[in-house]
Amino acid sequence: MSYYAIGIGGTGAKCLESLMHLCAAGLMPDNENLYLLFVDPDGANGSLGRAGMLLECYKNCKVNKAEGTEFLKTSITVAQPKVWSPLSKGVNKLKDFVGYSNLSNEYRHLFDVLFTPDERNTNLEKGFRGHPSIGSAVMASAISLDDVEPWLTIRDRINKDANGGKRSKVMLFGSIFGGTGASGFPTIARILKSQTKAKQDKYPCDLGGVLMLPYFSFDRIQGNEENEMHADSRDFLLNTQGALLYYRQQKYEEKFDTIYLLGSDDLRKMRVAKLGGNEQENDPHWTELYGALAALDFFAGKNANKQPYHLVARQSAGRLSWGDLPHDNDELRQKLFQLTRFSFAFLSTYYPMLKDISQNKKEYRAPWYINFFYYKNISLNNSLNNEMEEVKDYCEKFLLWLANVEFSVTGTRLEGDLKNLIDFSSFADVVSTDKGDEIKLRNRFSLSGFGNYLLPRMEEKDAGLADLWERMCNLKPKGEGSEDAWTFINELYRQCGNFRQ
Amino acid sequence: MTRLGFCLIVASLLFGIGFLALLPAERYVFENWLDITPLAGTTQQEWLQTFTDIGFYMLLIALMSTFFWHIAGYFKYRIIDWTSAGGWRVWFSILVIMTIVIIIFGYWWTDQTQDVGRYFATAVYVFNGVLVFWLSSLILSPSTVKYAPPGTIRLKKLWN
Repeated sequence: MSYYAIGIGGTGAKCLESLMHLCAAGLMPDNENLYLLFVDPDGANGSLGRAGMLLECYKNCKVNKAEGTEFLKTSITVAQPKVWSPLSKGVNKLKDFVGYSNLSNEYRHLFDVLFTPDERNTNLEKGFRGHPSIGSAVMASAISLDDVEPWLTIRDRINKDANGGKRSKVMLFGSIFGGTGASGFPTIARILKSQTKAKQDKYPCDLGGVLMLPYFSFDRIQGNEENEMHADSRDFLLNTQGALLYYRQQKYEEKFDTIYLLGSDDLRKMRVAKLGGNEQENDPHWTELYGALAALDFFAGKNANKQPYHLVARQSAGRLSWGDLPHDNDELRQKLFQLTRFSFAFLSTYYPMLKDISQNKKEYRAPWYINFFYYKNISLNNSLNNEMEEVKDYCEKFLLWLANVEFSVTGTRLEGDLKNLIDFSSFADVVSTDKGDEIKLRNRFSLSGFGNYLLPRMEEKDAGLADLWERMCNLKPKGEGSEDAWTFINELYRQCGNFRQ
Repeated sequence: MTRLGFCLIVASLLFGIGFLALLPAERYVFENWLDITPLAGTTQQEWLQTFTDIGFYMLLIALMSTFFWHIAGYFKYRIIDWTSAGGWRVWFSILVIMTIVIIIFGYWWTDQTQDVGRYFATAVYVFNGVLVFWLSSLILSPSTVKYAPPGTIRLKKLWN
C-alpha cells in the first residue's frame, strides 16, 4: 500500500514541504512508501522550487541511509515528472489550449462570453493568475489517467494495491482562493475518483483533501506586472465563498472520504508580491503545518467514523501552542524536538568539528570520530563530500522551516515568554530586508541555547551539548554498521532523543 | 561503577605493580649491575633502601598526577563549544610538571654517591613516574579526552 500526496499550486507545494519535514522526523504512521507529486503550470514558482529542493535533499539523504532510527524513516517516491504541468510545450494561452482558431463561430462566441480577453490571451506559464475558471478548463482537459504521466502510473499503482487487497490513500493539497489550487483540487479529485478502477462497487483508494482557506495576503502587484492579469488578495474571501458554495452544490464532500478545511482569520501579508516565477516565494506558514498534520491523521486512518469535516481551533487568538496542534502531542513534540536537537548539534558542533579534522587533523579531540570513522576505516573526506553534506543541507532547511513556522504566527519579533511553539533565537535571526522581515540562520549558533527551544520552557539544560558530546564519546558502533557515515549520523540522532524534556 | 572509580583502580594497580615489581627490579640492577658506591658513612644497602623509599613517593606523585589528569580532563573538557575540544596540552602539562617535581625532589632526597648513581636514581624515578602516568592515562582517561595521551589511538585499535 502506498500513500500519495499531491500538492496543487504554491500552497500545495508548501503543504508538501511541511509534510516532508514531518516524514523526516519519523511522524508518518507506519513504514509505507509516500508518493509525491507537484501540480503547477508555473514550474519556476519560488515556493514550488523550495519544496522541490527539499525533496531532492530528502531523497539524497535517504538513498544510503542505514536503518535504525526514525530519521528519514519514510521512503519517498517522486513522480516522473516531479512537477506536472497541464500546459503543453508551446501552448501557454487558454485560447491556444482550446484551439480557438479552429473552433466554429458558435463555440468561439461561447468561449468569448465565458472568458475575458485577458483570460483568453494571458500567458499561463506563471500560473492561472488567481483565475480558477481558466485552470479548471485546462486541468480537466489535460489530466488523463490513461495516457498522461504521471497520472497513468498513479492509477496503475492504486489499482495494483487494490488487487493485492490493500487500499491506497491519496491526499490532495491546495488552496481554495488561488488559481491553480482552486481549479486543480476539485478537478483532480473528480477524475481520480471516477477513473480509477472500481472493484466490487468500491473505489480502490481513500481520497482525502486539505483545502486551504485564505490564510495570508499580499500587497498589490506593482511595476511592470501591474497591468497584467494577476491575483489580488482582496478577492480571496469572495473567491472562497463562491468556491465553498460550488463544493456544496456539486456535493464534493461525497467525492472525498475526508476533507480538511484550514485557514486563519489573520491574513498576514507575505513579504513578496509577485506575478509568479521564482520570485513568488512565500515563506512557510503555520497553517501548512496543520495541513501536513491533517495528512498524518488521514494516513493513520483515525477517522474511523468517516466524519466528512474536521474542525479545529486555537485556544487563544493570535497565538499557537503545542496543545493547539491536532496530533498526539507527546509524540509530535518529542519527535520534532529530537530532530531540532539533532539539526542544531549537527550544524553547530559535529559537522564543523569534522571539517576541522579533515583540514587540521588532531583527531584525538573528538573520540567519537575515532570510534565511528577512524577505527571503521571510513574516509572522512568522502563522507564530508557526500552524506554529511546532504544531511547538513537538510538540517539547515529544517531549522529554517521551523523558525519560519514560529515567526508566521505573529509575524513580529517576540521576546521572552511571548513565543509560541519554539524559541529559535539560538539558531536563527529575524533580519530586516527591503522586502520585509526575513528569517535567516545564524552563522554561529548560541550554544547555550541547545535544548531550550521547546516552549513552554522546561528545565534549563545549558550543558545539553556537553552531555551529548560525552555520550557520543562513550559510544562505539555496534556490529558491522554501514561503510559510510550513516552509523554515526543515526547514533547522533538517537542520542538527541535521549534528553528529558 | 563510575569512570573515576575505574581510574582509581587502574592507577592503583599500576602503582602497586610499580612498587612491587619495578622498584625491586631496579634495585637489583643498581646493586648488581651498576654497583653503586655511596659516600662514606652510608652503606650500599642503606642507600638502596633510601632509593626504594624515595621511589615509593615518586610513584605516589605519578598516582596523584593521574588522578589530577582525570579530574582536570573531566571538568575542563565538558565540551559545549567544539573549538575547546582537545586534552593533549593539559595531559602534556601535567606530565611535564610531574617530571619536574620528580626530578627536583628525587635528586634532592637521594643521598649522594661517588659515581653517577644519584643521576641514575633520578632517571629511574622519572622513568617510573612517566610509565605509570602514561599507562594509566592510556588505559583509562575521561571519555572526552581518552585519546589525548600519545599512542592511545593506535594501541586501542589493536584491541578494537
